[in-house]
Order: sequence, then structure tokens, then C-alpha cells
Amino acid sequence: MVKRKRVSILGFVGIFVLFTFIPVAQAEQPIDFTDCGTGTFTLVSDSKEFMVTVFEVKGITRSNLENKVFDNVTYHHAGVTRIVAGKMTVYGYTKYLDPDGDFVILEINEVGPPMEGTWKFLYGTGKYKGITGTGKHFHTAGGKPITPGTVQSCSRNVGTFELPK
Amino acid sequence: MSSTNKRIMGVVVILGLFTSIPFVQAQIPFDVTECGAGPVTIVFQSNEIAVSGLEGKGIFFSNHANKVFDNCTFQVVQIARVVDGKRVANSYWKIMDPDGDAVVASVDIVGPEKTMTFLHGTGKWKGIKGGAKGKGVTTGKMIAPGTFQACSRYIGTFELLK
Repeated sequence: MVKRKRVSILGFVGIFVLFTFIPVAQAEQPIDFTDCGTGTFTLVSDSKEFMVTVFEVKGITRSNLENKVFDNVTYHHAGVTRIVAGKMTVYGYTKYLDPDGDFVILEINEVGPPMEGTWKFLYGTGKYKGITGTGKHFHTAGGKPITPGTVQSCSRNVGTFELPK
Repeated sequence: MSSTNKRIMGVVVILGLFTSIPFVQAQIPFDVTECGAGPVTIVFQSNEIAVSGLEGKGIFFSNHANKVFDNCTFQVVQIARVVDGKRVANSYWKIMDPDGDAVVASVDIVGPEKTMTFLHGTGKWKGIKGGAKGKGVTTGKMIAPGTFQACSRYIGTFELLK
């Protein structure tokens, strides 16, 4: 009799814990957006064997999904590029600011050419507070610099994210 | 007019047609989205009127199967005025393809309507004529004070000298 009572209490506790924690995290949502921008880069090391540049880019995003997550979001991207034996390695951080003034910080690492890499949400404010998620990053457009020392390009970011409820 | 003169006139007209036609290619359609960013300078701002200028740089991507103007970068200078809520702006663009050939264009903006006119071309764009109608497709919040970030879509046609 006592054993049956213990099992019932444990079962009740288990169900209670499940209902308490499940609503805290929303389901993973897809995200797929293209960002296009322009910026400048500065040579830190101009050695042909080991080149290092620092760059800063500003631009705007458009969502490629019906959920329109990250549509009309402006961004400020800063980072460093290392070029050794024709291979580029990029580390960067981006602030994405939505039309309401809420923003997220994202970390991007990529290698190339062709430039491809991964991104990860690090921080969010307002409706993005507690955001987590990762995805792939690849370049979709790039032209000849319109003036020396500048860059103009578009990239696509595809992945998933979660927000706490 | 004598029949000999008529024949000569006919030959001249036909010759003229054949000489002129090959110099102009058929109209080529294009459909592009441009996204750019840059600093904005407010010259004057009051409740009645605002005057501003901007310099932007950015990139085009094509929405058309022919991929005309895909991966072209650009630099634009613009002046604008907003009077009683109505915006009028004029801008000049250098649009450069990946080979380094360039097109100079103007864009005149009245309210939401944008009209692009090609003024000059170099290299493969020499003799370009045509233009497009455009509209803004983004409404973002400026990422830093005194800057803009925006995209517009333009659909039009152009001709090139052969």
C-alpha cells in the first residue's frame, strides 16, 4: 500500500516537473535571411605571406521565409580576416537591429574561398532576450569594390533559433 | 520624279534601313534589387521642410533569368527635400560590373516612385539607353545615427549600340 502511494507521488511530481519546464523554451523556429551591405576594410598586415585586415560593414536584411523573421533588420558587422596562402579565415560579430529597436548579437566564423561558415546567436534584447540558435552562412553576391578599400556583398544565413517563453 | 530617281531613292532608303538597324540591339529587360548603405547629412530640418544629402554604396542582385546587372556594385550621391511630408530626391549613380565596365544613371524620386534613367556607359555598356521604375522594399531602423540602410527594386529595359 505504501509502495503504491510512493509511486503515485513520484508520478505526480514527474508530470508536474514536465509541465513546469516544457513551456519555458519555445520550439525551434527556422530562420533564413539575406543581408546586403557595404563597408570598409583596413590592412593590419600587408605581408603577402600573412595578410590581416579589419573590416566594418553596415547593411540591411530581407527574410527568405514566410515567417519574415529578420526582415528589414539593419546590421553592423565588424571583424577580422586572415589571408594565408590564398585561404581566408574570418571572425566577426554582428549587431542586428529590428524596426522596434530590439537587437541580437551574432558570432560568425567563415573560411574560403568560396566563403562559407557558421553563425551563432550570443545575446538578445527585448523580444530576443534569451535567444539561442545556430546556422550556416554563405556568400550570395559580391562585386568589384566600387572604390578602393571598400567591400559590397550579400550573404545568406540559414538555421534555427529558440526563444524562452 | 522620274522612275530612275524613284529607284535611286528606294535603294537609298533600303540601304539606310540596313545600315541603321544593326547598330541598335533589341530592348533587353532587367529586374534588379539594390541594397546600399551610407552616411546621411541633414542640411536643414523643421516641421515644414527638411533638406538632406547622402552618399551610399552597395550592390545589385538580379531577379531576372538573364542576370543582367547581377553582382554590380554602385556608388550614389543624392540630395533630397521633404516639403509638407512629400519627398523629392535626385541622385546620380555609378554602377560597375565585375569586369570594371560602368553605367552612369540618374534616379529621380517623387514620393514612393523612383525613375532610373541611364545616361552613359563604358565598355560593354557604351551607348546604353533606357531605364526603370523602382520602389523601396525595406523599412529598417538606422543601425547608427546619421546613416541609412535600404533596398529598392527596379524593373525596366535598355538598349545598347551594337
